[in-house]
Parts: sequence; C-alpha cells; structure tokens
Amino acid sequence: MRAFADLYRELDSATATRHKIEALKAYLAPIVSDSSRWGEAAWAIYLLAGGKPRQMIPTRILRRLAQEATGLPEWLVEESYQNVGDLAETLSLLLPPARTNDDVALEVWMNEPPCASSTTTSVTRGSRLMPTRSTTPTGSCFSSLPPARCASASPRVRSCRL
Amino acid sequence: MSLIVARPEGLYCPPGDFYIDPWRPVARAIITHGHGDHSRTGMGAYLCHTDSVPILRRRLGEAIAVEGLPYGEVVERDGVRVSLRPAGHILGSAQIRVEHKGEVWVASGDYKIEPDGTCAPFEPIRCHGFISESTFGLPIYRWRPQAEIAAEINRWWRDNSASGRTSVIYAYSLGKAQRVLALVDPTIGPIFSHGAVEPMNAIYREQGVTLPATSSPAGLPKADLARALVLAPPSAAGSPWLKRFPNYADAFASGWMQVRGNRRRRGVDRGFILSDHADWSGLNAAIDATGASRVLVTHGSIATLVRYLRERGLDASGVQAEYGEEDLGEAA
Repeated sequence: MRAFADLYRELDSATATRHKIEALKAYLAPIVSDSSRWGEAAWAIYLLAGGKPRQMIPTRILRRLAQEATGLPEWLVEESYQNVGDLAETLSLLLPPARTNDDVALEVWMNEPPCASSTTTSVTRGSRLMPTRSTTPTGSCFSSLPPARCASASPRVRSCRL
Repeated sequence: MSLIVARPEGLYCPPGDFYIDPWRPVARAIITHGHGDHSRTGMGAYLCHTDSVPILRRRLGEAIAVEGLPYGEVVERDGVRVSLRPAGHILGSAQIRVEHKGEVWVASGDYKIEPDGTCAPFEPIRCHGFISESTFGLPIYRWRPQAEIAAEINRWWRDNSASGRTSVIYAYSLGKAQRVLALVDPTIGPIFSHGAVEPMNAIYREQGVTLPATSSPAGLPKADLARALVLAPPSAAGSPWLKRFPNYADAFASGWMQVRGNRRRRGVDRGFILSDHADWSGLNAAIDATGASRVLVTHGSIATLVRYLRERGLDASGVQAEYGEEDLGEAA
C-alpha cells in the first residue's frame, strides 16, 4: 500500500507524461517479476484507470471518525472541507500522523473492507482500516454500517475498461 | 480602553501615540519586520529591530528616518515602555511588547514557532492582550519537521542534477529564500540567486547568518547551469528570466503547498511545504503561552480562529488589518 501511495504522490506531482511513465515503470517492475504480487498490480491499474470500488464507509461516518480522532468541533471540520474542496484530502490533512509503520499490501486493503458481516470476526476484519491512525474507531460507528456495503473479496478489475 | 486599538491607519497605541506596522503614512511607526505589507513607505520615523534596519533601508530607501533596537532593550516614552522580542519569522522579525500602567500588550506581526537557524527563535511573552496573525489558521495546516522537507528538496535537486535539469525553486526573496538556502546541501551543485534574492542574502550574511555561497547565473557555463539550484521570487515563474535555463524543473516553497489544489494551480513540478508562519497548532500554542485573556486576530483565517478561541473561553475579536500580501505575486 505504501508503494502505491508513493506512486500516487509521484504521479500527482509530475507535470510531464515522461515522468509519469517512469514512475509507473519503477512501481510495476518489482511487482511484475513476482507473481504473488500480481493482485496488487491489478488493483493499482484498476484504481489508476479510474476504477472506483463501491463506497465502503459512508462519508457521514468518515467525518464523525475524523472528529473523534482530532477532537475538533464539527464546524471546524466543515470549514476545513470548504477550504480544501475534497473530503478525502481534508480528512487526511486533519488526522494526526500515523504512529505505526504498517505496510499491508494494496490487495489486502481492497479485499478487507470494514463491515459488520454476519461472521464473528467483523471487528478484526474492520480493524484493518484504521490501524495506522492514532485512535481506534468506536464500535458504534462500524456496527452502524449496513452489511450491503461490504465489497466483494474478488477484485472488480473485469468491470474496468482498460 | 485597550492599550492597542485598530485605527484606519493601522494598529495604534493611544498613550504612546505610535502605530505598529501602519498601512497608511503616520508620524511614528514601530515595525515588526521587513516584509512589504508590514513596513510601508511614508512614515515620519521608523523603529524596528537592529537587523531589520538594513532591510528597511534597502526596500524603502536609504533616506528614511529609522532607528534600530536590539531584542530585550526597553525604550520609554510618556510612561509607555516598548521592547522587542524575537518572532522567529524572518531576520529581524520582532514581537512588540507594550507596557503601560501595569498592562501589557504584544503585537506579534508574523511569527513562526519552529527555530530555523536563519533568525532568532520565537519567544512567548506573558501579556494581557495579544495580537496574532492567522495566515494558516485552519487545522489542515500542520507542518512536518523541516528536516523532512530539507531531505525532500535535496533529493529533488539531486535527481534533477543527475538528469541534467536545472532545479528552480520559487521562494519569497526575503526570508523564505534564505531559509531554503540554509536547508539545502551545497555539495550537490552550484547555487544561483535571482537579482531580487541576492541583495537579501547579502544582508543576512552581513548580520552574521551563515548561508552557502550563491552567485548570479549570468555568463556561467551551461554544464554548471544544468546541475544548479536556482532561487527566484515567485514573480519569476514563466518570465523571460528563466530562458537562460534550457531544461529545468520548478518548485514552489510555501505553506500553501499543503493543499493539492494550490499545488495544481501553481502549475509547478513540485510543492515544498515550507512556511515562515505558525501552523494551526503553532498559533494555538503561541496564544496559550501568552496567558492573554484578550486576543486580536489579524490577517488570514480571522473568523475561524476568532470563533475557535471564543469557544475556548477567550475574549477574541478580529481586526481588519491590511497585511497578508507580503509582496505582489509573492507568497507566505
């Protein structure tokens, strides 16, 4: 996941197509030569090609989690959002820096959504989403997620027009 | 009545009959620092920190009536005691402490909490009333340690140098450019300064700040240009001045680079998050450290910071001061 995040930052900051191609090549080279990581590459290509997984967590809950983690009043989170213009970016700027250095593969992140599944391991599965942040989300936030939001464990690469 | 009040000309101290960083011509002005929005032309007399004197003379003219005061030294007039304390913003930047009949107010101008080695570090002062900027007064602004930013800049320069590309960093000519200079690794290649930056480097060096060697890029061999780091004011972006570098990558050094939309709008290759101002937690920490019960908030996210401070029980209000444009086209 960290490699993908680095790639994304690199692509985002590059203004020349040549730099973007170089960055993609550098990211994919070690993955292509290791078949156990192909799933990771598939997800990366899917996401970069504009693929969008179904919403795993409603934004309402994301906002609430950010408020809990930062201790900021709701209006200030809202004001920050209005200033930045993108909710994901706003929350990433508001949340305290990660305290752990967990490096879970992109594939695992994509296949382990936080969901209140009927299995008893819902908390364990859900806990994947927030371990790099300083606070553990409260159970109430997660148990309020509708089971229907759970993404399928199989990548949706086939639905993407590459 | 407050010891410092807002008037159409600027922040005014009634018992001392002087202004702090006035934006209209007045008889007596005390200046927090040399940026254009805080030190303007047309004042009858200027008082500022000793290190700001050459900056003011350079920018406002040799003929101005200016007096320098070291940090901590007190001047007294009509029962009002005035002294300067470091604000950590740029060379010579000062918070102005004003005391009258036991009441203490501090006008901080622009300030930064993290020490950077190019100017005296910020010192909190206990006071009854504190005047604070709010340039980065939103919690989305949280600076990473400058050592991390330095590593990013050096890596970028090294990579460019290896590919035969000149590295151009746009940075405000007074303060930010010298800060970048102090952070970079001069063993990577030669460093060139734009004509607006070089005189400021000279002033810093004259005041005893150690900076790596810089020179003008005029008439130098092409091979040197390709390995070089160039410091230029933001107004140089897209200007003919850059034509001397056939192949270059550019970057902008500013706190605004924290937000992606700002980076994209600038259209530069890279944004380095480097600010001379306090971030959200810095502003709040500085305000807390003063112990002030009254806070006046100037330029920036005034409404946001005022509301936040009020919710925390402080008597805060906003002042519409004409600060915030450090120079046309240049940035925080």
